[in-house]
Amino acid sequence: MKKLNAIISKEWKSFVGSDRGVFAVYAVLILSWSFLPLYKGLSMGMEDVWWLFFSVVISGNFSNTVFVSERLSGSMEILLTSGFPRDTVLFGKAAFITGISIAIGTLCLCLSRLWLHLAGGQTGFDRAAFYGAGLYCAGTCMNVAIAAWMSVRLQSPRLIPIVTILVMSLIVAGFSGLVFFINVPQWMLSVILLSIAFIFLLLARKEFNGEKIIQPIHL
Amino acid sequence: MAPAIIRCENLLKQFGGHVVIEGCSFDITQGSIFGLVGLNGAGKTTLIRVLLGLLKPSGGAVSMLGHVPWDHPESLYQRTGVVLENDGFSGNMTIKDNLRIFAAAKGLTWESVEAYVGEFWADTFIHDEMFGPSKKVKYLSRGQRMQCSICRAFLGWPEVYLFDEPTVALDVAAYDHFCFMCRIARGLKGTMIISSHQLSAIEELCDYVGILDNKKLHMLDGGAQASGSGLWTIVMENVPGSKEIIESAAGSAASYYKGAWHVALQTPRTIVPNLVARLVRAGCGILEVRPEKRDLKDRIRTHYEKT
Repeated sequence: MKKLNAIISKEWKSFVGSDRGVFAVYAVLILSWSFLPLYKGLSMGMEDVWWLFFSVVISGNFSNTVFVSERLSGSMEILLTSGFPRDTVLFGKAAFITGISIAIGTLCLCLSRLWLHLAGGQTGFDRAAFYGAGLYCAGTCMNVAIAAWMSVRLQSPRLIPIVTILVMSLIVAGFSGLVFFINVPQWMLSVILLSIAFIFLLLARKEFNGEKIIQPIHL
Repeated sequence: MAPAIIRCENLLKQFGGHVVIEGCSFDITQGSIFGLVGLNGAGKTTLIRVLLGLLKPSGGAVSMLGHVPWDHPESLYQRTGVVLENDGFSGNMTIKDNLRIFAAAKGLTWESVEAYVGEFWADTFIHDEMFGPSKKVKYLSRGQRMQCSICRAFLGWPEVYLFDEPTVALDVAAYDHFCFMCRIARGLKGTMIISSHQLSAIEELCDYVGILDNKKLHMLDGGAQASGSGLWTIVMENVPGSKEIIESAAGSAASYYKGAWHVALQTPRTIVPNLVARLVRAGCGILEVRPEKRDLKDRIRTHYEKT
């Protein structure tokens, strides 16, 4: 557990030590995304989809920093030979991205409810807000697991956010199609996302224990 | 006899159909320093990666401290110090924070890290970074980052050290400090592999030298230190008649270049006094008589000429 904390702490300190521009970009992203529910024409289902894609943007960005840049610079091999078990490296990094993405998502959700309140609309956290939050968390877990696996498998891992958007789009489109034909409860989408996350995490674990993890990659 | 800490038996490593290392066997005993040399692309880094368990051997057996590296045992890495091509530090963090992470990986307390830096890195910038205001690693120079890597490798004085080009970008003081640390580690029975193109470091530190050439490891006879070549140098002016005196005493041909005679002597103990006496009698002013040493570079060149 101490080593897992050390990996999370490493990633956190590395993020906190980033240039101010990075924080400015995240602030703009959070603010702009939080204004979205104010748009009156947005249907309930559409708002959920926006939350899902927000998770792609946020966790995709963090995955690039945490998984990909470490492999690009070649520092992964030092980390793997320094006494950290490989699973700890993977789960520590994944836990950090998931945690920070959920924190950012929560902040964005709170801001969006605040704007709604100030605009004289609904107040507090309704069922839709909780559903959106759950979907965001499930989406984040899936994005992180896919990113961890693709950071090793993809020849150009910088494409991770694009590929994640593609995967997410396919899942959302598939689920929408399913809902069109049969009556599927809304929470089922979260379950599907979490199941896919679990599968990709197992695949990522296998890759992290192989020798591909230190092979040179290209942009 | 000291036990073998690093053992390689008939190692084969190939990527697809491309064989990089083949039939490589060696034992490195406790407390010894092994120098690994070879041309660019010979497979030195691959060999180190196999020993570290970063690459899986395609054939043969490798063991380090009794472990199979490819099993990635945590206890092996806690007893190993490494310097690889990349320093592995997080650029957005200070060296202090980075060392804190790696100390946690090795199961060391922060107090022991502070004591280590205070005792062994007192005259370096690392000490100031640790105990004074510090800057992010990304603002350090390449040489400074390499020093930090070396500092991390010796952290906790592990039992095995694997160094891939550890002297790249080091200034004279940092290089001397690296040699100093290696000697302390050897005194503590640390076992080391140093792969480097900087032969002075290999010559200065290593007990054995292996050349990776043509996919195989060839051990260099006589270790890393310079050895006698059988040639002798007589520093003097090229006085008429001196060539004949030297050649008759030595029984072999002599040649004059760089202000000295160079001649091969079969039995220098008996020939040299006789030769000097005859030259002095002939009125030659001798400045110096010494055996020629073949340094590591010459011996490696000879190896490549032979193969």
